[in-house]
Amino acid sequence: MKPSKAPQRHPFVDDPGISRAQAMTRGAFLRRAAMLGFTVTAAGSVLAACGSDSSSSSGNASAGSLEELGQVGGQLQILTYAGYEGANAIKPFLKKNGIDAKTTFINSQDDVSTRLRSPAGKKADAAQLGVAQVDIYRNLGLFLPLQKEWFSNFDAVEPRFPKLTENEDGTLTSMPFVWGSLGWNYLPDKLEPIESWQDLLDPKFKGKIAMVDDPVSSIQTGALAVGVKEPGRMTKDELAETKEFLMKVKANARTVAAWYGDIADMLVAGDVWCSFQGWNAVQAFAAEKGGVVHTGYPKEKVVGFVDTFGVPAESDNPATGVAFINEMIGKKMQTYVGNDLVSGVVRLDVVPNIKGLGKEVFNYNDFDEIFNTKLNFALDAPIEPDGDIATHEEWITAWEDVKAS
Amino acid sequence: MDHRLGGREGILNPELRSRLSAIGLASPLGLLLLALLFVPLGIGLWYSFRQGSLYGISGGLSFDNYSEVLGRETFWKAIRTSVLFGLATAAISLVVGFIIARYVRFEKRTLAKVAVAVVLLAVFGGYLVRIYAWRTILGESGVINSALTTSGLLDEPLSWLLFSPTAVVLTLGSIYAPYATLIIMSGLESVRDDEVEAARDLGASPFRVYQRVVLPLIGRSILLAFTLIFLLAAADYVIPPLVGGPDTQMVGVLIANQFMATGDIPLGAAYGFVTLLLLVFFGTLIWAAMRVCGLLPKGAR
Repeated sequence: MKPSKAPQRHPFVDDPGISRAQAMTRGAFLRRAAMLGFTVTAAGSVLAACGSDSSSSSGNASAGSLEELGQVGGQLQILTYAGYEGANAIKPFLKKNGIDAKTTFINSQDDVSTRLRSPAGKKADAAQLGVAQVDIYRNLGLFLPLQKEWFSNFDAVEPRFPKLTENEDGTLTSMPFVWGSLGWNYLPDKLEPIESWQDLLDPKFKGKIAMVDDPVSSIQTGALAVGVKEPGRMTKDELAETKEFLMKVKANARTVAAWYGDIADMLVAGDVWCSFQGWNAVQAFAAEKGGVVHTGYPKEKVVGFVDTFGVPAESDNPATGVAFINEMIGKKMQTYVGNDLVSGVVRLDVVPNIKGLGKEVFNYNDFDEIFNTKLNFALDAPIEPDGDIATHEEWITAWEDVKAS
Repeated sequence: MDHRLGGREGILNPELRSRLSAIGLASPLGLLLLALLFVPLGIGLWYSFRQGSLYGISGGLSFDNYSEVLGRETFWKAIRTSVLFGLATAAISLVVGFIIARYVRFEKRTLAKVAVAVVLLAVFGGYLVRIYAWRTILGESGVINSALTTSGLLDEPLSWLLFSPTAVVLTLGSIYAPYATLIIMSGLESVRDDEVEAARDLGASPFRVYQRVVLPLIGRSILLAFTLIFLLAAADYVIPPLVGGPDTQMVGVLIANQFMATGDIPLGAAYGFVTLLLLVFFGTLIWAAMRVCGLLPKGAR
């Protein structure tokens, strides 16, 4: 992937040179004004938490439901990956609002599923949710529907992200704040980019591939590789075909790595030359260790992911959860996401602030192309049986069979 | 004393009193075991006969989960891998532990405290740190391969050192061998010098002394060390993904997947109970084999 230049304009705003934040619509202006009016009159602390992008007008408190959530402050229980809690960058916000944040770190989305079913997990105020699982969690009813008006930073978010988590009534199951793609990581000094995922079946890759023990994403990528357009709705026969393909890839694999960080270690050490599948952040992990890793996008597309924050329905402090999430989509924290986490940002007005690897790994100049032609934001399989559609449990079973093959 | 207890002695005979006293002393431990081991196991057993998914646990009691577990080829393959790795790890740990413990007990008694401290240090060392240390040692650009290639002994690094069954057993052994060492050291402490000397005086060779005197005397320690490490290693699900290759999936990962990835707690419980029964069965086989080999005679310490 060639280094990109910082974008000069927002690709989704008609007028060049005008950022989305500047190009505010009348409706957005009124929403913000109403929001600010409410927060000034009803809860000064909410203003402090949510008002970073608001204009200084007053209006009716149309977001009365935000008031029902309570006051911002006190203990905030977060359930997420290390780094997604905001690390040091979030501390001024927490201090300003008198928030005592306690984070339970997870290793995978499965951790969230497990914890949210425990009494302690249900009390989290902001919980990590992968967009692939949004349908599942929506059906489970574990998350509070989020009103867009609760988030003063919402209008600056690139619209295609919240579309992925939008409910029928216009509320959101969760708020996107990070995105990325699970492409093909490889060592450019050893290999040329592959055209197709099927190329990995070539004997020349024998012992050179590291698969990763990420059941859902591996099945999704395998499904794309065998031509399934909508992996979340693949049939049992298509799953069988996917499994067969993955078994063939595994026959060429040297190992099934525990997680993506391991893939970076293996690539840097030269133990393997490429991955199935990878993650664009692996480039950054490898660079920290002095390695050069690239990410390829085979023609069948790669799995795109969007990580979001939701507020569990049984949260003890939902107002603070909302305020925290609003801060995570604010300018400062999005810049942190791009630079410190080397992850994709959901508001493009911060792109000029992103430097180094964060800019190189995510080619925002080709943002439209990447989104439209290279990524498939595949969903997880349904939990409950649905005709001939393969279920989540069948996916996991298939992946276990692949690993044991 | 007799005067004060006189009334009770009339009611309770000494044997009964002794038993009641033993029960009284053991009851706190018994209650603890009941609350922390048997009650959770009972709940798990109850769950294993029900149906579950991310939506929760439902349905009546059935053997469906057990049928699914027993009918899965992947499960049996994982069990086979787990048992083989468990046996290999236990055997290696036992040999290493015995060599260290024997040296300290019979050759350098003055080193006993130092040896215990070193072994404990190894136990207290970080679990993950030790796993990653092995990756550094066994990798293609690791310590061993670098030494072999730079010294000219090999042209190409040995690719089978890492991400292979060898790496899994080596790493498991390095994690669990300290436990075997401590248990065997404790067992050898109870072997009296005069017992060993008597065997020698009667003309037994060094091998014979160990075969007929030392090993049978510490048979229970050997059994404890072997079965403990066998069970721990066979149930491990962290090490295989980190240093294992494509064919090293152990049963622990399958069980964890049911609890984590699918949220099917009843099926996970069924996997757990079948695994438990199978591992106990293998543990019993080990005990029987030791009895047959004369390593576990009556009166062994």
